Amino acid sequence: MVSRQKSDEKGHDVSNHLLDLTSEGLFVLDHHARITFANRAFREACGGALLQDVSLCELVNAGAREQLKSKLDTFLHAEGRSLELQLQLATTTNALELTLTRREGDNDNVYGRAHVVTHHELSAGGNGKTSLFEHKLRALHESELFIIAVSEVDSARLLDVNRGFERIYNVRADDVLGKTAVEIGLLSAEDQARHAQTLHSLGTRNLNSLDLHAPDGRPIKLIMHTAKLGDCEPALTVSIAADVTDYIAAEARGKESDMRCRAVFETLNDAMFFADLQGRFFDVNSAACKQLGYTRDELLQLSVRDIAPTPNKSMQQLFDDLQGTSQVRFASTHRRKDGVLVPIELTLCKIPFHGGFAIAGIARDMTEQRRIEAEIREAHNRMQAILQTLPDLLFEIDREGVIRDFYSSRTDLLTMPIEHFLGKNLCDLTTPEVASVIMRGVNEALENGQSAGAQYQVKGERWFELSAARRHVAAGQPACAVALARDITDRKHHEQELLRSNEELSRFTYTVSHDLKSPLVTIRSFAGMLRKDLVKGDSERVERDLHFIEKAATRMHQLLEDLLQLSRVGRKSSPPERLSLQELTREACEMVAGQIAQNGAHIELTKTPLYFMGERTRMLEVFQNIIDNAIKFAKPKESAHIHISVEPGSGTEHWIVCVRDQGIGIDPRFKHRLFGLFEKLQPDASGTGIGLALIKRIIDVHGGRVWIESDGINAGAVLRFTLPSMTKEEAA
Amino acid sequence: MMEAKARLSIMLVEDDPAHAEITLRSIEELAPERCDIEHVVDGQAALDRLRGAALPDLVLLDLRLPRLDGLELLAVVQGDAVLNQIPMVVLTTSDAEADRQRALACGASSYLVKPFGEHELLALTQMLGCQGFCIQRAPSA
Repeated sequence: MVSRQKSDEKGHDVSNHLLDLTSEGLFVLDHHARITFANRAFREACGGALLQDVSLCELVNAGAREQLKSKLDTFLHAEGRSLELQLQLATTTNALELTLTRREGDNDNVYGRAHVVTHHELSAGGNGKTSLFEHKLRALHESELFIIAVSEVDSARLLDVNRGFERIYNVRADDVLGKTAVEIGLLSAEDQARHAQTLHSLGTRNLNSLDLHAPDGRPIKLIMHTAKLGDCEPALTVSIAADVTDYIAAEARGKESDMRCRAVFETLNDAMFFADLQGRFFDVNSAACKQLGYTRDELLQLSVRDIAPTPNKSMQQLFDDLQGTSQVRFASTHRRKDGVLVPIELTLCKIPFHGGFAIAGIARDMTEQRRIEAEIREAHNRMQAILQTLPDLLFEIDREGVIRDFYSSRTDLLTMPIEHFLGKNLCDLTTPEVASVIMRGVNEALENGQSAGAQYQVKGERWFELSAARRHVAAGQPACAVALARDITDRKHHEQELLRSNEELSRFTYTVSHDLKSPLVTIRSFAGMLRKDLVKGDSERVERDLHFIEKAATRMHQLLEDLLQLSRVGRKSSPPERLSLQELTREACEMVAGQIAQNGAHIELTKTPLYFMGERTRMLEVFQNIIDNAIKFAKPKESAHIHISVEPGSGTEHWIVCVRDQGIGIDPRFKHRLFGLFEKLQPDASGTGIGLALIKRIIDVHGGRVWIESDGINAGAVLRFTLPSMTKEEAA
Repeated sequence: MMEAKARLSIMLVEDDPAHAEITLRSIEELAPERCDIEHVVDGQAALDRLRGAALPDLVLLDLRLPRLDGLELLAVVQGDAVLNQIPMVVLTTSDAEADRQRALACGASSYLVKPFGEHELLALTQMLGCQGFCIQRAPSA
């Protein structure tokens, strides 16, 4: 057994050796197409590797593997005896022509023979099989992209055309074969003659751009190579042409598009540049040159960092920012050639460039915009400052009376918080009278552009004067006016005070012009009569005339004295001081002690300690006149009873001094004339009638108020006055 | 126009005794026998008299008067359908145009500024149709 086995092994080695000697590649596959045997020639053809158990499919490129596997599977599982196939090896440039066969009754093995086809053999095609050259030629011939035509040189009669000819010229081969190119309208007779002449003389002709018309009339552009074929009779030529009509048109469109882009690029007001990822400029427009102060050639030598004063980002970082976004925009600064910094708004985007990327940038010069922004800011600040200094309320009101906006630094003047009236109608916020005044002003402004002078009082307290101006609004917006309400309460008070003062002055002038002239008229008239009476010698009349003259002179003197006394009131002769009511009344009584004694008047002074600020001399005059009047107007043949007391007041009038008498009282019909200058309700009373006028003037000047009440004739009278500084407290 | 009567009744409203004397003497000079003159010293007294007795033919009225003053009296008289028939002549020391206008507006028939001469008073009485007034003798030089 052993020897038999040894003998078999030896036979096996011998046959393997013999198989290695043949130049033909031999191999065996199992039913999975795995190689179970390969001789030396096959191994060498496949690149020299041991191929044991390698699948035949693995010898070819991955792309061809599936197709090969499919063919092998079909063969291995079918009844066929043999299969021929060609495969290009992945590891070498060689191709293998394989013949696979199966033996009768042996389903486990497939036997293969391989013929190695080198690249050279493929090109030459010398072994009678289809060569690579032929493959190429066939592919070219069958291509619909190229025209291949064989024709007679002289007649241009077409002998053979390919499918490309049919497609591009939109003809059927059967319709054109045997006809000339001139007959089917491809060439003119002249062109054909010239073409033939060139081929006869040079043998070939290359046309880079051949314009002709297809038989259906379409213009077509071709590039064409034509060559004369060997020594045939008649002479033949083969033409190969490509249809470049669409390509040329696209190229022309591309050029136009480029020109348009260039024109836009150059006419842009914004600086535009293209830079590579290192930041080097490779194209810039005129605006960029102008903005930066460089020539185009100078700029193309520079990079982004030359014009960015503080490059806080590298080009790579910028490029990274652009990943995933179409563009980025940010504010930046450029440095001009002369060193001046230009504020810019930079927009960058990523563009394809030479198989990679580059950056396109637009730098908008923001100098003017920054200047305008600064001006607007400045104007806004100025307006804010002006508004801050305005002591007024500013409203924006529309025609319907709705308050659209409000501004004021004087919110203390408002009767409600701002949010309570914004967007509300005036009519819902104030009285109909006030709303009506405001709306008249607003409507006048809307009609005439502006209005001024309307006045209104809010809640009986503060007065306002309205100025309004029409505000320009955008089209479609409701007409609107800006109304300025100025607090004129103080002015109003002053006006009223002035009015009162004017009336007083007018009364004063009236009084003076009558009363001061009166004694002069008397003197003048009686002087005239005196002269007549002297002539007549009427001594009684002379005496009477002189009596009237003397009396008038005395009265004139008294009137002037009284006027002087009145005029002294309000003139600051001594500073106001803290006065005690008790002391003042006591002192005043001492000053009129004569009248008191003569009348036997009884005066009851207050025990309430009351103090106030005032001018001592003037306030003494007040009490002197009050006591004097009370005595003067006591009932006939009665002594005066005078009671001075203090009553609590109300509001700002904390205390009231009250002087009560039991005299002849006052006829209520003439109460209004009591405080008038030189007014006397009793024609025969002594004095000029200055007393109450003087009292009122002094109390007025001290900021107080004086009034008289009486229940009528013989009912006595009560004079009351109050001063703002009155207090019951002891010395401050 | 007033019709001539045997005696003319005049009311003089004047608080100043001196001025009253001057006016009375002037009237006496012009028509010593023809006038009954009643003198009252304030506006209220004048109004009371006007309402209580026969109406005078003429009222000579000062403006500055105690109680009811001249202008107030004029206003009351003007509003009274009976009293407003009486010529009211204002006698005053004020020559201010405003005072004159105010007095005329309140119904004064005429406005004389004191001191007035006999000629002015005569012209006034003639204008008002009061007969019998004349200057008794030539004024002394």
